Amino acid sequence: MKKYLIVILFLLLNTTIAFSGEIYGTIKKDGKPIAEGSEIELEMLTSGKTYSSKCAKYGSYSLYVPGKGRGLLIIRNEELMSEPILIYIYENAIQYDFVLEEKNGSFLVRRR
Amino acid sequence: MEEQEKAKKEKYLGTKFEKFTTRYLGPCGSLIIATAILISGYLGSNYLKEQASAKARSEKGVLTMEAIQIYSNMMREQEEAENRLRKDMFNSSMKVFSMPDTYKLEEQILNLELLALNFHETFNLKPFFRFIREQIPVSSVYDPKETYLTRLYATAKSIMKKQMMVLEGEGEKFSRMVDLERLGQIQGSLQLEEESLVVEGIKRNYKIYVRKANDKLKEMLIRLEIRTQKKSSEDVNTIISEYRLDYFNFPMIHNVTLAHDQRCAIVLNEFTESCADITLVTFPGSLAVRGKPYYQDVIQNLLVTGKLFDENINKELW
Repeated sequence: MKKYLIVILFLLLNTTIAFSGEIYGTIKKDGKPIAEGSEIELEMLTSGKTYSSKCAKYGSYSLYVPGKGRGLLIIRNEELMSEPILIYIYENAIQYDFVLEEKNGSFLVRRR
Repeated sequence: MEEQEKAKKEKYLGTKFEKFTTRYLGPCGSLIIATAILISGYLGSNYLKEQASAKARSEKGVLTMEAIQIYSNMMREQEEAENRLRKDMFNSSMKVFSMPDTYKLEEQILNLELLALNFHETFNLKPFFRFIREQIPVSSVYDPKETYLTRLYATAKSIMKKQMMVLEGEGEKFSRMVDLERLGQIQGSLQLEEESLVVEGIKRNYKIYVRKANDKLKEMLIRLEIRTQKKSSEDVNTIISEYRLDYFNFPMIHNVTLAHDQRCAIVLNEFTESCADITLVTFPGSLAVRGKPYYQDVIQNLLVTGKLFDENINKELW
């Protein structure tokens, strides 16, 4: 019984490690870091689940996503709400640096 | 009578002259002498000061040159010692690759890790990585040997990241996602969103095309087009480079040489069956050579400031 428990725990732990992604990086607007507290929201297209995080100082952010696959990312704060950008979440952590550009009244997210 | 008056007048004039000399000329003379002493003292001290500062300057110059010489000697000796150590390490590691049948896969990977961590800025390690990869016959995803492949890719990624950290500091970069599912559906190349970067005042436009992808080897066939606008005319200088990109492309070694001593490299961050992630970096050519820029920085700093190390850096460190 104990052996089975250990095996199950090991498998569960291994699965969590294997399928856990994280995105991190910085967000800039007009060459300056985006305001602290700006929200980053990611909707996974595979599961439909939504994950969000907030920008720290200097526009840096980090978002933990349990799973991998495609997702739509939106950046928003009191002043703006960006158009969604398609990103991919991998098994390992990956850096996504973004630049917000205003075009015809809407904010486009470009990857740098 | 006349003689008496004349004598009286002479006596009067004599006393007046005496009075003049004792009352006015005497103090004035002292004043003049004092002023002359003051001026000569001031000029003399100035001259001495100038002489002292000139001497100090020349001594500082000599000291700076001596410091440079001592530092360069130290560096040479250190470099020689390191080279001896590296040579021994390299030779012993190479034995493992020259006689692969006598060594286990575990030993081969360990030696490659040693080589990679110590020589990644000097040697092109791609052939070694590829050689080891070929030595790992993975039959399925659940094969225990899969861990060796993961370890191999992890080593390559960590080296790539180390190099990228150095290059990003001096250069500019941008990243792109490659939709491999879409690449499989379309005919021809998949063009990624183009980008312009400015490094050392030189603006260049970069276009990346992904022609093919190999899921098994986790590699892509890439075409890179770099356009530079010439300053004097409307002409555009175009460089087209096509190569295979995998985890074993290290930016300090695998790069495209551009005009004005600049380099451009693409690295593979991630690769899955449906998506890949790449980063393009442009950087000064001096960073593509191991070690040299750091020595250059030190010597340049020494010549400009006369100090061996930047005091601010030391303060931050301590």
